[in-house]
Amino acid sequence: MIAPILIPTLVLSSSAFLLACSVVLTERVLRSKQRPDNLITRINELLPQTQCAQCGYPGCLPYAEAVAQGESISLCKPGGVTTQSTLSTLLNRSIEDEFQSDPHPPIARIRESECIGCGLCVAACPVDAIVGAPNYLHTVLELHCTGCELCIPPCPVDCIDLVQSNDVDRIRSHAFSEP
Amino acid sequence: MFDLVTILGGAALVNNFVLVQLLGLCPFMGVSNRLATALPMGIATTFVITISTILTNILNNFLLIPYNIEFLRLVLFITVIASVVQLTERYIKYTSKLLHQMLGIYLPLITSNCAILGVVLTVADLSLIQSLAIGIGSAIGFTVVLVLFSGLRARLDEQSVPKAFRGAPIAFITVGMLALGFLGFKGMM
Repeated sequence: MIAPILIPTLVLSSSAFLLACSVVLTERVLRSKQRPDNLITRINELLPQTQCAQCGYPGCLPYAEAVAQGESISLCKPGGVTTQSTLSTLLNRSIEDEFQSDPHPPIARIRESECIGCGLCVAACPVDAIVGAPNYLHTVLELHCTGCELCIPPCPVDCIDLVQSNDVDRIRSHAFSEP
Repeated sequence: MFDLVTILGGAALVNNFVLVQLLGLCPFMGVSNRLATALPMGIATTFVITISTILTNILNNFLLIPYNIEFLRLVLFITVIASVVQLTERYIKYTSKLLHQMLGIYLPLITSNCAILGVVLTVADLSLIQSLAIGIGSAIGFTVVLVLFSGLRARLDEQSVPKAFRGAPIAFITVGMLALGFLGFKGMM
C-alpha cells in the first residue's frame, strides 16, 4: 500500500544524497591539492609587482615560485627590507643570514640638459616613476624609483645615471611603512 | 563495431543537437564569441554528457525500470546532470581560475543545457554502449559546431555588417546557413 510512495521517495532521496556526497568529497580533495599553489599566490601578493627582474627571475610570479621552492628571500631589490621582513614572517625564515640587500639602493636620475624627451624610458619603467610629456624634459620620481636600471638601455642619448641618494631611502621607508 | 561508428557519426553530424535538432542554443550563442572560451566549453559539455549518459543509463535500467518508476526520470536525470556539472565546475575552478572567470555563468548553466537533457532522455532505453556512443557523438558534434561557429564569429566581427544586423542578428542568420549546410549530411546516411 505504502510502497508506491516509499520506493520513489527512497530512490530519489538516496541517489540525490549520494550525488551530493560525491560533489562535496571532490571539492575536499581538490581543495587539499590546492595548498602549494596558495603559498605561491601569498608570496606573490607580498612582492612589489614591479616585474623588474632584478632578482634574476623574469618577473614577480616566477620569483614567488622560486621562493616557495627554497630560493633566498633577499633578492627583491624594489621591496627591500620591508618585503624581506614580511616574507620572513610568512615563511618562518630568518632575515639576518639571508640579508644581502643594499640598504641604500641607487636610483636613476636623468641628466636634464641632455634629455630629448623621446619617452622611451617612460615606456620601459615598470613602476611608472618617470614622468614627462613627449618632446619635453623627462624626470624621475625619486620616491618611486626602484633602481632597476630598465630605463637605461632604451635611452638613445644615454642621459640616465644611477646615483646614490640617502634621502630617498628615508622617504621610501616611510612610504612603504604605510599600509 | 561498424554500427557504433555509424551511431557516433550520426549523432555528431546528421542529428547534430545544435544545428539539426536546435537544442542547446543558449550556451551555443553565449560562449561562441571567442575560440578561447568555445573549446573549453565544448570539452566541459562533452565531459558532462558522457558521465551523465553513463549514470542515467545505469539508473534507468537498474533502478527505474525494475521498480516501475519511470515517471521519476525527468527529476532524477536533472539531479544527475546538475551534480556532474557541479563536479566539472569545481574542477575547473580549482585547476584554472582564469578559465572559470572566462566561462562565467555559462559553466553552471550547463545544467540547464537542453541538449544534455535531450541526449540523456533519448538514449535512456538503449543499451549502455549504444547510449554512450550517442552521448559522445552528440557531445563531439556540439563541440565541433561551437568551435566552427566561434571561428565564423571572429571573422564576422571584422566585416562591415549593416548596423541593424550587427551582433546577435547576423549571428543567428549565420547559424541558419550553417544548419542548412549540416542538413546536407542527411544524404550521407
